[in-house]
Amino acid sequence: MEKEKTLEKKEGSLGSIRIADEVVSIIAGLAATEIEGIAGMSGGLVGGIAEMLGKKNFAKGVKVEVGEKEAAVDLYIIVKYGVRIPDVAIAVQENVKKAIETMTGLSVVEVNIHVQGVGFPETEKKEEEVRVR
Amino acid sequence: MGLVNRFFLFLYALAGVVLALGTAVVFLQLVPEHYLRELYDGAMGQWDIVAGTAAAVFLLSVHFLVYSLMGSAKKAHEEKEVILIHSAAGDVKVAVDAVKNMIEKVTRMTSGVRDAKIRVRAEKTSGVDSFVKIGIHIVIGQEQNVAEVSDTIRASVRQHLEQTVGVKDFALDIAVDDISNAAVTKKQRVV
Repeated sequence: MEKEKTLEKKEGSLGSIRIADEVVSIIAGLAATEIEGIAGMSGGLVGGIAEMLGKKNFAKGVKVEVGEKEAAVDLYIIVKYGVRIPDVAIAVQENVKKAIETMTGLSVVEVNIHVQGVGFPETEKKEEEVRVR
Repeated sequence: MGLVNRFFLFLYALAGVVLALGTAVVFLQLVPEHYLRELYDGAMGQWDIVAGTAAAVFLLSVHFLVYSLMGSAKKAHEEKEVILIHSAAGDVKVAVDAVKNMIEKVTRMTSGVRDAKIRVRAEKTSGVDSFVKIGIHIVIGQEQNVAEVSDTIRASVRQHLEQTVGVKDFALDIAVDDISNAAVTKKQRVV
């Protein structure tokens, strides 16, 4: 059974609002990958095997702690080679906080970024000119 | 693991293999019983050798047990992540392995470097800050100037760590382990 948190229950409201933790994870994951400089999310061995089998996991590399009104997020990211890591990390923090607060109404108390690796671009194979026959 | 410990581990593993095979042979009754009895009687006649072997196996076991515990304790105080930013919005940390891979790439890209081994350790200082210690062991080509190559690596690593990672406080040691006279491999140009 998924963990869910009841956001609020107002007198005379139509019912309660429940948001699964995974939903918050997905929002955080998508918001993080929107930032230029992010090569991907680090999901560990299980995440890697799931991706190889063709299963997309938008919550990969995201851990959330969701309370009644607040949330704390830990993101495990891989950055592109050449970018300035602190700048990218701060941009991710801001975008994730904004996305979660806008979409769920939860107050984000902290967004911790864990840079797990650097994604090096694959060296492009250039076709060498044939100079001799 | 050092050379001596690897040798001991080889002997220990070999003893384990022999013991396992011997047990299988006994239980599958592949060897006649009277032969086993003769072997047992012979071993009991030379109890000092048997006792000595048992004592050696016991000491080796204790040695590996202590070594494995010491190894984990030694690494306990080493941080796996370097803290870059600590703020109310959250922390930004970089894995030590990520820093190591970046430094290795920068070092290997330096002209004259044939091989490189990098060791990075992050130690927690007072508060939440981390102090990074970097050890670079390189093999350079024989036609290269050791001082120039080392200075180039030092400058590249410093620039990379400060600008890309954002780490300004670190210790960097460069050691030239060997000078290689092997020719740089070239791609075959003709068929």
